[in-house]
Amino acid sequence: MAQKSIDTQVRSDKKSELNNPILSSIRLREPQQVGLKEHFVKTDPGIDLTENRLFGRFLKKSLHNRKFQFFLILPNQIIFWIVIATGIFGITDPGRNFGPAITWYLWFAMVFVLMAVIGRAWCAMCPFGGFGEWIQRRTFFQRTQKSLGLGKKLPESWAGHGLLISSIVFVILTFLEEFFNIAGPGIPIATSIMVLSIVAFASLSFLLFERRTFCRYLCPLSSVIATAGSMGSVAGFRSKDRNVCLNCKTKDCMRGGEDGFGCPWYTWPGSADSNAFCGLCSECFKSCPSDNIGLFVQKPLTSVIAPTRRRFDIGISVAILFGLVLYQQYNALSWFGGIDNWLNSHINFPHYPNPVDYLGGIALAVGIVWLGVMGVQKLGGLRKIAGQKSSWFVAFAYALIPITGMDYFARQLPKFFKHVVRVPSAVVSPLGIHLGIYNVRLLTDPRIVTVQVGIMGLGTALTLWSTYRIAKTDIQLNASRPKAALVGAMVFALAISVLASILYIPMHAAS
Amino acid sequence: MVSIQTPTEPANRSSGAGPSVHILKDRCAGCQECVIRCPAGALSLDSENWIAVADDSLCVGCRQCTRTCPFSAIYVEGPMMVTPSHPTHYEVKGPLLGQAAEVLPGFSSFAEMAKAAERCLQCPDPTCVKGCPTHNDIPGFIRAAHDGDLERAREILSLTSCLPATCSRVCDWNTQCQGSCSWTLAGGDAVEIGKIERFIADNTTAPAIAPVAKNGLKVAVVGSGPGGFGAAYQLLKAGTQVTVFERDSEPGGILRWGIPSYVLPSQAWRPTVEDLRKAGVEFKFNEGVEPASAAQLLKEFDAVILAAGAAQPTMPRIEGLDLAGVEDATAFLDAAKAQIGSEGFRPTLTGKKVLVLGAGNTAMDVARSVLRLGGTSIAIDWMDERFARGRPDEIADARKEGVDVRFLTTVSKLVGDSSGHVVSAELLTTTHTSADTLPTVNAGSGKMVDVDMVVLAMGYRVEEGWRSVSTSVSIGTPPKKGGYRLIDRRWLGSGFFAGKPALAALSYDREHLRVESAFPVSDRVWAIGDLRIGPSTVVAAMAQGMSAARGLLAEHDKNFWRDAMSTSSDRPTYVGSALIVHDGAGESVKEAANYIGESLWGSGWDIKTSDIAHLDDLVILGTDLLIFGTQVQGPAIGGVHPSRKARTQFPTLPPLHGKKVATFVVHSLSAGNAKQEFTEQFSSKGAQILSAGQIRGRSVAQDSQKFAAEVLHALYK
Repeated sequence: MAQKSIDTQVRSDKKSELNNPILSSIRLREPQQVGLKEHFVKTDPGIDLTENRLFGRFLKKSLHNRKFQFFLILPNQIIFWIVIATGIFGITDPGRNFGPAITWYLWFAMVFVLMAVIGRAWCAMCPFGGFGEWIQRRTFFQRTQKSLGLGKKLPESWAGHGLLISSIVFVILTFLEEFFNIAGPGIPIATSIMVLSIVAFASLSFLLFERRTFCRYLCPLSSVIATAGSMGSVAGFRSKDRNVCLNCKTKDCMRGGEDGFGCPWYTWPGSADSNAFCGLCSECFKSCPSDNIGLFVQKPLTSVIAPTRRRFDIGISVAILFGLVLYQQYNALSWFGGIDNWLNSHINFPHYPNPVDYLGGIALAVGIVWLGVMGVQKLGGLRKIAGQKSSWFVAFAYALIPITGMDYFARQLPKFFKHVVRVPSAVVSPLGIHLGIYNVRLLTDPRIVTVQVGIMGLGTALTLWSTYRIAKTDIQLNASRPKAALVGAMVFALAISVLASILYIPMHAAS
Repeated sequence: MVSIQTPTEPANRSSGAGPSVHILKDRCAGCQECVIRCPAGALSLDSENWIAVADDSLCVGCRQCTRTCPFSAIYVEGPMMVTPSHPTHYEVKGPLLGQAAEVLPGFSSFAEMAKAAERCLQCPDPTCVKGCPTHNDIPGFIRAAHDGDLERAREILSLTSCLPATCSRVCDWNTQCQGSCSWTLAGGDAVEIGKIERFIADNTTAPAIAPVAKNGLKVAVVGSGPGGFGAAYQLLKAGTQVTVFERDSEPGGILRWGIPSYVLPSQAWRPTVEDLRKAGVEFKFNEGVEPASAAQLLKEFDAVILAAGAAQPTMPRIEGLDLAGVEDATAFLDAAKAQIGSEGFRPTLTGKKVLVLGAGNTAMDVARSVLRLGGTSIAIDWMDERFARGRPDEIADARKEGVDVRFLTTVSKLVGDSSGHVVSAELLTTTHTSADTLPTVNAGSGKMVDVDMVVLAMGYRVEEGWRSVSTSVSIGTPPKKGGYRLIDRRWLGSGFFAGKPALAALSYDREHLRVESAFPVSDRVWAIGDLRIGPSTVVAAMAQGMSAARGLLAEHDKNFWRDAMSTSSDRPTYVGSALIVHDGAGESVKEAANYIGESLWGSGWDIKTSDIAHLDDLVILGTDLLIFGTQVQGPAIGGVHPSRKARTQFPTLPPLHGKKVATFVVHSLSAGNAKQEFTEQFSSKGAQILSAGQIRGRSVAQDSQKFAAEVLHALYK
């Protein structure tokens, strides 16, 4: 294009000499750019979907539209309120009630597919966060400048723990779900109460705290999605040119601009090196005054193996979540019921699950990972890295993300394959229509086990690949016996993955 | 909770009492907003982990980092590493009768000033500059003064102020520069910026106004108060021929008649008048310009800057105003100023009890002048002291001197004796619970008080006629408070709003008014200061005067933007500069803006395009042609309109008097009345509409080129 337009910012600065004396008194230090390229080179995704020749223009237009996220949330919002209503007022048979049927037979499995493929896709359309955000912003989709609520920041002592809080909430919620047999599914009203409780907890959090503090720190699914979602191929919204972001004088993507709110997830596209904290809400895309944000895709597992800055909270969350899913696996075995009952009778706890073996099981898994890491550390003669807490534990835990994610997915499959056809039945049953497919299953138990083991096999392969890549890039560089460190790490990852995988065989596709 | 300790003594770092910086690794995004603004250089970036890291041994505890972090990822605990400030408070020394000596002392020595200057952090993004209505480069002049180069310090001041000796005496520092000092925002004592400025101004002479070559412009400035001075000063520097019209026989406006000499001695501002005169300003005294006659000036001058102030006193609706012994504050202060400190001083109010209606700053000046003339004074205000409009320090100083200041008190009537002289007043109590509501008078609480004189000091307002649309030159309604589109993110970035949101909002409002004053209120007419916005401050009026002058100069400089433009050998001869602003509501409207720009560029226009959201209003100045575009939204059946953004944002643009404007709407099925609705927004702002076009979404390129051709045709016909 022949037009010789001048960047507004540059012109403003030029003119400012005449009319904006403030600018001449600002003597900012130069931002440090040393190490910029090195830090991000491994995680910088190459493909910006908004520049795609086929659909880039449409995508850009959609993302600039303030109704974009609203229309993602709206259908889920409607469905979830129907879930609540049918759970309370519908029939008591959970298999025929739309609420529990869609929640536990379809939704949970779908969420895991979304996170494994895309990342935080669910967060972009989540009705819990969406509802709270509508209240907080006092609008469904407009850019408002004033918010409702106290706008507090999560206390530093809590925020410092990052995703750990979310992991703990997930552990508590799972315990309650097991205790009340909500996801069994048990009585439909239990599902409604659980969903309503989450809505209330989320809404209260949105009224108490600023931005998406709830989603970032408190949501029970946040740590699961952040960890398992790291496998995903959508890198999220990132800056096209990091230098532009670094030299940006306004940081509208963080503080909010005319067209978009400041990042609700506390993520700066200028330094994002993982998809773990990009909620795909597109606010940064809308607010950037320099059109320097794109929606990028990356190779699967990039956010697992590539980030230079690995987070302790993600590492410990992976270990906790792995421990939790492992517990769910072995408690489905017949012999475990005896242990649980024995513990209950000795501490007078009413019924399954016993909190001691529940928490003990999780702690045991965390301990096993820790011991394994120490073993590899000894075997390979790994040096401690100054200033990085538990760096080897964190690195290994990152490598276990694929098997953990796949384990959660595999765990949901029996309900899906056995009962998902009940969802259409539940949809039409209030109309008096009986489809006669209530007991139809998509797969037999042995086939379900095969699929589960297959998925775990894929998880094992991905974990081995992740372990290999992380060991090659980081661990070996700091090992006095590099080969031993690599072999030790691979064997350890394999052992853990195989253990989790083969448990599915004696489980016999238990729900 | 972050605890902040205000030092009584400087903290001793060696004993481990220094501040400690905590960075939330979870949230720190490595954006370096804190790093680039840390005054002490205590923050850097750990490029391995891409997060900020702090060196506690360098941290001074100013908490600038906490305020600037967009994600609240950093906080500081511990004391502020700064020597305590010992601001001097006013103490009444000796009898007040006839006393004209300044009540607030400045620094007595360079060493004292240098010690105060040493406390300045030299913030890389100084909030004090934003708090200062004229945006003096405070760190700049403090650094120069501290280093002993007072001349340089004065030069820095003269870039943004022609009245530093005045402002440093009359400004309310606590709501301006010192209130927004980093130390204040952190909970400590501010650097004594006002007194440092005063020391510089009192010990140097202003650099001579050295105009560049004559620019051929002849400008009339109406009023010789601080606003008029500011405008004349800025115009002179650009080589403009300036004539100042003053209704009184002497210059100075409120500086001369309104502020007592014990607050502002005439030596503080008289040299500025001399400097202006020497540089070529022609003062025409006893030549007031009335609303009805202002337009006449446009025949003789290229432009007019109205800075006539707001001198009409607000009158209460009570009985007895016509009694002898009742007068307004202007007349009283003018007479008192002539008496106090003069050689032939006579204590004209000995034994007299004076009731001052009002407890604002003018009322305090009146009440304190009464004491100096030998009388006693009671100042009353019907508001609660918590919501009072006067400066707390002025009220406190007046009380120290013996003024009886009574809030929640009002007057219902004045009673005269048989000779028609006021002898008593009925005072009533009021109830006032909120700053947003008016007080209510407590019926039956009336109490008669004997008085010998009553002075009306309830404020001033703009003279009748200036705001009337029927007047030859109307200044219109004052700019709306908070009428800006969005707070400049650079202001947010500085941490000002995070530190003191209310003061930052007040400062930003002032800045909005300063920017607005750069735009004409009607063709070739600018209005500033109290006349434009109602009673304000000396420094705000001066800053607006300078801003109006800059706006005027930009409007008359056909080459204003030329040096900022890229040039190309294949471009046609330069014709002018055009600004295309769109609402960003759709890709089509942006595309249309680009096509229009391309067409105009081909005809010799330099083009700037901007989304309304990111438009800096000042870019409009000096631009020859403005084109505004919007996307049409809404159902074709129910009625289409300009986009919501266009309807909410374009009305907040500044006045467009004398500007050539073209508008376009981009629509899919039908433009309906959207084109007319959109265009009316600009004609109501005084713009000259050249053309209004509509562009179909399916043929953006052709329609845009056609529209550009229409605009050019309208321009040249």
